[in-house]
Amino acid sequence: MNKKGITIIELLVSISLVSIVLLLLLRVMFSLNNINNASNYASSDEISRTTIIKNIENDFLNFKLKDLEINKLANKTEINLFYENNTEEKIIIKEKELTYKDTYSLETNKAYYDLEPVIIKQALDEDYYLIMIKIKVLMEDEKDAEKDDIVLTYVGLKNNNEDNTN
Amino acid sequence: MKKGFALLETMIAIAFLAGALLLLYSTFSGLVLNAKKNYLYDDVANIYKTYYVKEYLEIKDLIPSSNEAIQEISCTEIESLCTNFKIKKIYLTNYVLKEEEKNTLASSLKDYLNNLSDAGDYLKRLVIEYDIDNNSFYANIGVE
Repeated sequence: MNKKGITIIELLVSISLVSIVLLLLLRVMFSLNNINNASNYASSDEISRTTIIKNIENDFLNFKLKDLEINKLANKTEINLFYENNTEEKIIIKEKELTYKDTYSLETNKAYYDLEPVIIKQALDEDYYLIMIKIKVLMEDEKDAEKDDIVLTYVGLKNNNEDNTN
Repeated sequence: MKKGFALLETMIAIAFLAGALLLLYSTFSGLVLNAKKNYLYDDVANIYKTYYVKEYLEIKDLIPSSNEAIQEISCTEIESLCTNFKIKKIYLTNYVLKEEEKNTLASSLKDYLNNLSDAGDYLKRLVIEYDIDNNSFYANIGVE
């Protein structure tokens, strides 16, 4: 009898074992690819997001945010920030960039800033007020994640003669 | 006449493949866990929210003074902040927690607390759970 070669059963078992391993590997690769796509935003723009939030919030705390107003223009939105030391700063929002003292550009291709920020101004009680600014980061063809938005908050003490709320 | 596959060969091949897959899976699990931690824990926006909540609680004298290791602070007195900040739960914990003190907690909170460093001069820690995108995000700040 010829002892060379392999039997068909050996072949089938080998192929099925290899295909199971390959299927699992493929699944792992797809998952890793999804994480990589998500982290593409995280790595290139998350640093900008963290820097923007930190810089603005530090100014809120150091100079005490008093009030703000929004100007909606053709291709951009401006948020004028008024501080208690009578200084004024501006957040300028364009689709692919945000400016607060420095300009930060969105590097992720599919991401863009929403030109309609959500502003909340309300009294917490008779002494304190809350101001929140939410600048959404929208993604083309993908579900927006609130976690990627630029959310700025400030809790301030009302001056005696002023009401900082609507 | 030699036919088919020896049982021993098959078992050895399967054992080898299983070992390789287990190694791959454990590496992959570690990657996913680290990605999850970066995503859910101590986001910069949430850290500032936590700071303001702490300041407001201190000003309004709403920080409990009992010696319990972990206490929950109700949102009743700070409803507006809780609603606007999307706060799910507020906890006041000892800065350094023992293992047995964490046993009764929800697994996501326990994972977060296990992730925290014990370095710092604070006695207590304010831990806030935020409900954003149907996920639990956590941030903490030291309380003196």
